[in-house]
Amino acid sequence: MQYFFLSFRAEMLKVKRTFALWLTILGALFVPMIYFLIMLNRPAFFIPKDPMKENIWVKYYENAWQSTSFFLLPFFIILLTTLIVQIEHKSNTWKHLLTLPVPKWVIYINKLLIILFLVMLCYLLFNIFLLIGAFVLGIINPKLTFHTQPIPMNFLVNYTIKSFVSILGITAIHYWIALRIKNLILPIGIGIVGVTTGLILINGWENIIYLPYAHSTMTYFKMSAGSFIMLETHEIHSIAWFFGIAILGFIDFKWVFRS
Amino acid sequence: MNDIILQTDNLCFGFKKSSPIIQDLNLKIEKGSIYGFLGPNGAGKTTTIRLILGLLNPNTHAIQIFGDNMSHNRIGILSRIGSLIENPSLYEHLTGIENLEATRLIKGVSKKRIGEVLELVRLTNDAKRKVKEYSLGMKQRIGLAVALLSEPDLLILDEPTNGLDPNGMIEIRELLIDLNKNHGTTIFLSSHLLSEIEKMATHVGIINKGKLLFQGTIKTLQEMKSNSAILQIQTSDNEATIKLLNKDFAVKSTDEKTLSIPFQDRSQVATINRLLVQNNIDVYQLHVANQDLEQLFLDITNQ
Repeated sequence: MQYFFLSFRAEMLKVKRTFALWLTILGALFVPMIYFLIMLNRPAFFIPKDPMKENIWVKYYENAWQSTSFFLLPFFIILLTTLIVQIEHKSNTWKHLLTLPVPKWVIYINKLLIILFLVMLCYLLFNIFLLIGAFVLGIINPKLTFHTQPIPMNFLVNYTIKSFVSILGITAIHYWIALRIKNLILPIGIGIVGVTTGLILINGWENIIYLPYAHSTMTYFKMSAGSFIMLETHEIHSIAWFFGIAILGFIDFKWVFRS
Repeated sequence: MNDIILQTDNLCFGFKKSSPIIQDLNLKIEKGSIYGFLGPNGAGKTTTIRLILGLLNPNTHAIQIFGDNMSHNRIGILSRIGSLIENPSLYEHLTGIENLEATRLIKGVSKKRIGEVLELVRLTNDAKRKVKEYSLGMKQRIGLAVALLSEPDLLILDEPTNGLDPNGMIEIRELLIDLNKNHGTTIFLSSHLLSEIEKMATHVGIINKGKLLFQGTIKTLQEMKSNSAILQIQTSDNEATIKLLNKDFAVKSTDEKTLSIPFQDRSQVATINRLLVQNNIDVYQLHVANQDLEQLFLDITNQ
């Protein structure tokens, strides 16, 4: 079991100085930054008309999540997954990695864990950047009532967790695709097609629930409609996709994959 | 000394059954030897090495390393092997030290070993630079350092001097000989250059088109070389010469003018000359074809 953690540390080391790491940080910063600028220049839309009924935090979060969930988040997942796997393709190191004295499942799972770890880091930074932005805005313009109204922690935590669950499916799918396709562009192209299909079909196709690329958008819709079910059906689907594809991918990696 | 470290029994491999890449390969590598695995490009050297290291699955369970089978004890076997396959596997965005660290963590070797292997490949001063900035020779050396981290009992190197300048070649060669002599590391290395193998190997295996054509000590190979020396002569009467020499030598006419005669001993050259002169045949040219090992290698692989 010890080599599991040592191998994870080795994977962490490899992420150092890669674009994947920057993507995680900049990706988390992007939307909070945009909203910071919008609220700085055009605060009117966000200033609550009746602070007793309306919490500025809710509006702020909903807008931020809306901008994120449709396209940016799935695209971030696709890009990050591809970039992490590309570290080995690009360096020609699969043959080295697979002749090290560790079981193949350790290598497979640790790479997947690194991806999930960076995704979680991105969520964490996203929330932190949103909070910092809000506090600074509240100081600059007190009419933005961030300081006087309560932070809806429940909403924030729920959203983060449910959104994370909703992207698990595409994470496993693109992990497999990235392992199998050594080219950098093709996996990203497949991802764009998937995400775009989801966006086109989201309003009207009754089977959209089966398309993992649409799950993160669906989580946004459910949340903004006020549904707080622990796990929506599509989120259960996302988890099923994750484990199903991750297992199939591992079988492929162990028995068929050639470095 | 005669322990077998690596052995394959009728090793076969092919992506398609109709066109096997490796056919009935029987390698035997003795402990403490430097085994040169020789063959032209595309002969199946890299495929063999990939099979040995478990990167490809052979059609038969025919590979024994340290007396154990890969399918039973993959991790145990791999922990005693250091390898370098084709171009070195390095993370170019990391420094030399970080590259070593990434493998050190997985192999569970002590941290001070990094300093030792850097010293060994003479890269201590460049260890903190990114591998991206390294020359090909430095990359090859840091790749070797990675392979040496766990003080392996068996070192498997695929074309370790490929693309290096003469100085780089000498450095790697000295390093390998030193490892073999002073640390008892058994080395299995492939190359398409006989001259390279000749300078360090104790044993040689020659492969072509997936088949092993020769296996033995470097001495045996050199003896074969002296056995296959050829005398080329031009005379005033080639037909008479053939008649005269046919009893004792396998005379062949290479072209209209020239005859070639394989011989074993230099004194035989003198005998042939004397015979011809005594029989009133004029000798215009008498030439010992310089049959070097290189030519022998070509002959063996062109069979």
